[in-house]
Amino acid sequence: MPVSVDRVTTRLDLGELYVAHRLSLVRLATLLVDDRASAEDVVQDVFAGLASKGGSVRDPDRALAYLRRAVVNRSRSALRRRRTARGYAPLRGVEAARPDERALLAEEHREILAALDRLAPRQREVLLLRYWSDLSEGEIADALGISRGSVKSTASRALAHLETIMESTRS
Amino acid sequence: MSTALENRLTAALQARADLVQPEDLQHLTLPTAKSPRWRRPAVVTLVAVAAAVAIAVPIVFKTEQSSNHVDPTSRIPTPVTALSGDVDGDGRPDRVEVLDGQLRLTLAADPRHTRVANLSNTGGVGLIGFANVGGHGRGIVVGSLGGASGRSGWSVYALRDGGLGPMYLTAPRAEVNDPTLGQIPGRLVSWITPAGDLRSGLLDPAQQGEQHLSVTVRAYLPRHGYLRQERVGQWCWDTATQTVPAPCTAG
Repeated sequence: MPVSVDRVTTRLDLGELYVAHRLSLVRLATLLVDDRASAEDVVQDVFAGLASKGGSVRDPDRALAYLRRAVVNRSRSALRRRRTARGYAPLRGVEAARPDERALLAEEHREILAALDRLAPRQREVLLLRYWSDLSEGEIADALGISRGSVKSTASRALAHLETIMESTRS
Repeated sequence: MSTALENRLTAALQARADLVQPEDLQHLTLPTAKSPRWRRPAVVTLVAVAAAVAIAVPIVFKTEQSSNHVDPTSRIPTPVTALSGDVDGDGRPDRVEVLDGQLRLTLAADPRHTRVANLSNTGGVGLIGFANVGGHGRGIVVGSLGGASGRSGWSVYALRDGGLGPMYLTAPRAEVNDPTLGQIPGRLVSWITPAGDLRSGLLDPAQQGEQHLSVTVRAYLPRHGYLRQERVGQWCWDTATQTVPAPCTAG
């Protein structure tokens, strides 16, 4: 006998979410992809996707977590598409920032951001969510769709790798 | 783990993120879920049907099309001489028509003022539909068969600084082919997705006449005031059952 499951969803005020979180999401996407225009497109796509669902989610308290996860996923897709289209690995982060933006960054920031760009994508994502978005291990696990244990071990390895890269750059 | 490194990383990420300020953002509005009538699935299917037919049959422009035609949802959107759609993003249908080698736009918000763009190719011009061009408005997709000096293809016009002008199509350096939109039987098929994005598919001439085709699909996405071609991938097209190419399924 077929079983029907009624999903209870709540309609969000997308305009409110957009105003409240767009900037931080664009900043997150900017750190994940190579440029501001792409980052903006990522975030617009995420909101458009949510709008196409009528702005409905099953748990409104987790709307921001949903948006954050969607931004991470779409940023990955954007990088993949560009890699395919260009035929070479895309510039990321500070390397691809506009010249005027690079000029505004202190040398010490540029050094560590350049090292960050050399990490594996998952390692970068974990560090960005941990040290810029200031998420807990549980929230990062939710955003990336991995276990808390993986978040912890990935973060640890990523920091160690980051330190190694920076030391090798100096020597 | 080094706390100093963590602090330094946090500061660097914050500095990088702070370079993005609210006034820098180009998108001004929330993407709306309220699709114009012409973008509803049934209409897009009709667009797709029109695109599929164009592979085998040359486009015949309806130069005698009634200028009173304002509702693209009620007909297959083969090129027509007049359409209605929200060009300026105010939620109201604006009127577009091609007449005497000109594209003419009358905004619902400013009905007494008709904005005009001279079409470079007047050999057989018709309106295809509307597409995303960034921002909250829509671009006008114009198709042409090519006149004495022009080439066949689609071009996109959009509101800029209050006026009406063409949008430049561009392709990455790595792309061999020029950015191309339009219908070339046996060679190129273009369509508008349900989301309003422009797509083109390059066909393999060696497969002409076959039912199952492999298509190189590209998307045209808004970037800083122009439409940039980006490769989507190699898609499949069962011309007997699918109106437009789609991602290949396993098996």
